[in-house]
Amino acid sequence: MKKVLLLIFSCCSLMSFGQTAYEKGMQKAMQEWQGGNSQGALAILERIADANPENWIPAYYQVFIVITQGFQDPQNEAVEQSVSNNRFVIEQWLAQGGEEWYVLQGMNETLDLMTDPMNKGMKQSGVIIKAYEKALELNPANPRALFSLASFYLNSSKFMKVDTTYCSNLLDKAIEQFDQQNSEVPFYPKWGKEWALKTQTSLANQQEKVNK
Amino acid sequence: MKTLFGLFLVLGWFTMQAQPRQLSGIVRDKKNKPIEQVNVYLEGSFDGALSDAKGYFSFEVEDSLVEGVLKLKHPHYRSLSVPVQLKQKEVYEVVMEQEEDVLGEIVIKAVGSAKRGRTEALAFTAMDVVSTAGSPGNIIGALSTLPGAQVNGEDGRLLIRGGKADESAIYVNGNRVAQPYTAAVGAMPVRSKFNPFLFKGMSFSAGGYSAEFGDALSGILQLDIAEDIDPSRKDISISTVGASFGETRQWKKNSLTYHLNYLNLGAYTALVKQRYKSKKPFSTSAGEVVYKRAIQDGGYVLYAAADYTTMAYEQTVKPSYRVDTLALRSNTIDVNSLYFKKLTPFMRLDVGTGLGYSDYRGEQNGGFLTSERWNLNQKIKLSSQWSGRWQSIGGVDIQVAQVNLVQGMKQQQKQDKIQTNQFALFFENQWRVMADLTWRVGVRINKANSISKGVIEPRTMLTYQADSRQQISFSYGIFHQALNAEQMRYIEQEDWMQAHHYIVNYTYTFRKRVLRAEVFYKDYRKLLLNSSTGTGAYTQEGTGYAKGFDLFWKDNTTFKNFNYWITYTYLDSQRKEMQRREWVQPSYVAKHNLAVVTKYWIDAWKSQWSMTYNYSSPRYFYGGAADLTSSYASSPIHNISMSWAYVLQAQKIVFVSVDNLLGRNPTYAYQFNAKGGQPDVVQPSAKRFIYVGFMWTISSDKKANQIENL
Repeated sequence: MKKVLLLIFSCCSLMSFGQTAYEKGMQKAMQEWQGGNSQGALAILERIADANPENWIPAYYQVFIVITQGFQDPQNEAVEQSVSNNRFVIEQWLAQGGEEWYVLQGMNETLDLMTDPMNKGMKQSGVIIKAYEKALELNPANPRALFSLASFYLNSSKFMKVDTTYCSNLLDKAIEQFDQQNSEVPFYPKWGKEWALKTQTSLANQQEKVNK
Repeated sequence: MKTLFGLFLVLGWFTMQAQPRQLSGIVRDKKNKPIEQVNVYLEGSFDGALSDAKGYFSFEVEDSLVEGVLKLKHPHYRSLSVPVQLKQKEVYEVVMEQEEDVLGEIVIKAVGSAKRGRTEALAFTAMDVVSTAGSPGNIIGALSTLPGAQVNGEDGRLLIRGGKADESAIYVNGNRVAQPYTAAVGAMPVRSKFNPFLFKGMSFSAGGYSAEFGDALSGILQLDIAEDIDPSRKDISISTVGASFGETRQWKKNSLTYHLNYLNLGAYTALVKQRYKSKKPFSTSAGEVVYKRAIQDGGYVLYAAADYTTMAYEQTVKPSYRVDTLALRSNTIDVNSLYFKKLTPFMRLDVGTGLGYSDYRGEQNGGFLTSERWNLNQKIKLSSQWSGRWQSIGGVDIQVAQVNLVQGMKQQQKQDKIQTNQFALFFENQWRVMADLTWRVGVRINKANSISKGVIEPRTMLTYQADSRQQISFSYGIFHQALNAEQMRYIEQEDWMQAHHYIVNYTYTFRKRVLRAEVFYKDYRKLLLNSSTGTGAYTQEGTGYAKGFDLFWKDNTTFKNFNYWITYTYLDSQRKEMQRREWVQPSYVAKHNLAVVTKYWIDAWKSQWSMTYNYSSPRYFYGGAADLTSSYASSPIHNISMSWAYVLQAQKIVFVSVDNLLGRNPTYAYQFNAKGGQPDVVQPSAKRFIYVGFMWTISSDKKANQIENL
């Protein structure tokens, strides 16, 4: 009995040792980020990316964190520089990373638009829509691409006559797909569901107001 | 048993690992200032630290490690790898070198991200052009609101700091354009021919420019077609003066854009009274094609444009009440191609070819001038980044022009056929001497078939980045220009005309606000001058100078949705040139130029209001050759223009623009009659110009089929 317990214990501990240094590192980075320490998270991701030059996941999160930071304060003068740094990284990974990188490209170009909507609005909207559509071309069921496209259309509804049924269809589809995602790649991007649900609720509220 | 043994080993490793040691140190820059936010770690391990405000870092390392490589990374500093012996030492002091770029450095990293060294130049975009009131779609019109540039109402061409219009050169993708303006006859202002939306960036240098460019005494304007492949779309626009249609198609790594434009002032001039009587209204049919192809590490951009313009009108000039009959017909074709390729990650090759053809006929009161012109230029440029601190460009620039001119009345004609060839070599280095000091030094060697001797032009610029916000630069250069074909009909040229530029620039950028102040001195030598013998022959003893300063303030952030810029240029310029053997302020020079450009986006109205105010002080015109006593002053120019762009819905825009809102009627210039007496005045052809247009962009719309895919 003792032997068996020991065996189980050792198996368990072996399993936890089985978690690679990469996974541990990524986990630490995610924890730091969720704990509000973006700079720390970015530093860890940079170290991981440096040691895993073939893996796009750490680079993805580096760019993603910088973009979401930018969304907090798009008027900050450092943002334009971040956008062009991101562009450089995104360009390198587009071919290998696939649709998730096109989603990132769309988000990065959206950030660029937000730095100067008055002058960049016209040119950027075409670029942004094209990026999301390219992502959908590669994988029509990617929930992040579906959600991002819907959300971009809704945000530009101020200037465009937006077909909201189309947008809410996109959103519904996105939410459905969020539940079905299961990637075997550890730390494959999973974000977006809560965001999409929030957007759905606010869209519904808006529609109710209109109907009243 | 085996399992147990395995477990023991694993646990043993674990306990060994569990005795960490501290590795710490301090990161400083060369000036001994601590650097914050440096990512410090051991190669291969994910544990590390970010340095704090004192440059201090500290993190745990496994005790078992004997040696390793300490890595230090920071976005503004060059990454460092330091081999470390962990047993011997645990505290490190590291010095990092700055990699902070001076504004606009050549960085040959990837296709499309090659920035040029344009610290001296002012950059602007298509949106700046179209949303600046008073210049609907005219690049040169928008330029006139920038420091150092002046555009006179009766002429329309770009004048740079006391230079004549032909002293400035316009480049598309690095190739010189022979005919950048629309055709004109008599005192009729021209416009820029280019559609601003074709260009991703425009940059204007009012002097002291790079050795890559030449044959322009005053300054250059560079227009760059974006190298990226465009997404598919269609554009339709209808206005009070014409209509245009454009389409972009993208397939694989190619994109093709064509743009057709028809402009006819007939309907407009019938409705709005003009100062002239139209016999055949001004009309232009134009077409543009842009083809782009992305290739491995490079690309190809082809731009081709053709236009056909006609006009005939009668105008009574005052006060002599002479009736001028004028007519023009013009046909031009421009082809411009650029092939670029990254030979290595740090070396880029650009091969540019330009071809221009124009056939022009202008008539004025029975006299006529026809010109048939061919231009060919070929440029090969190699850019190389040797290291983070040193980059060079070098190349060859060849310009060939052939002009066939016929001038005369019905019976008598004078025909001239002129060919000019120019050959130039250029080489320029940009070297970061210290982290905050950049030195650009270049040389251009010019040779022309019409002038026996070649010239060497040294050019240099020193840029000091005082801190992240302030930059001071000094530039000096010698610039030469040969006579153009038209001038060579009358004069045999012996030497190059010459200008020396001295410029001190101060730029302060702060949260998307820019303050730019520039002091300039330009010294002209070897200009053409009538010889004192009175034979009418020319010598090259003419001289001149232009000095002054300009101030530029642009602010996009202080007020929400409100952008504005203010430009003031003070210019003091005199010349002894052509008939003027005395020092005289040339008639095209205005001493004070002020421009205030405002743009306001009103969210609730979904529209942008723009207003531009231009002021120029009077210019002075002198009659007879030697008579400097009677001068005529043109009116001071106060021009207010307004435009309103309303976003109707999904990329449909209604655009209304009024030029000269106040309806002022200035005297732009004077025309002296051969008989003498009171000169005739040149005034705008109408009090106001009103433009109403509707623009519609249709992006490639995949909505319909996208939803089926889901």
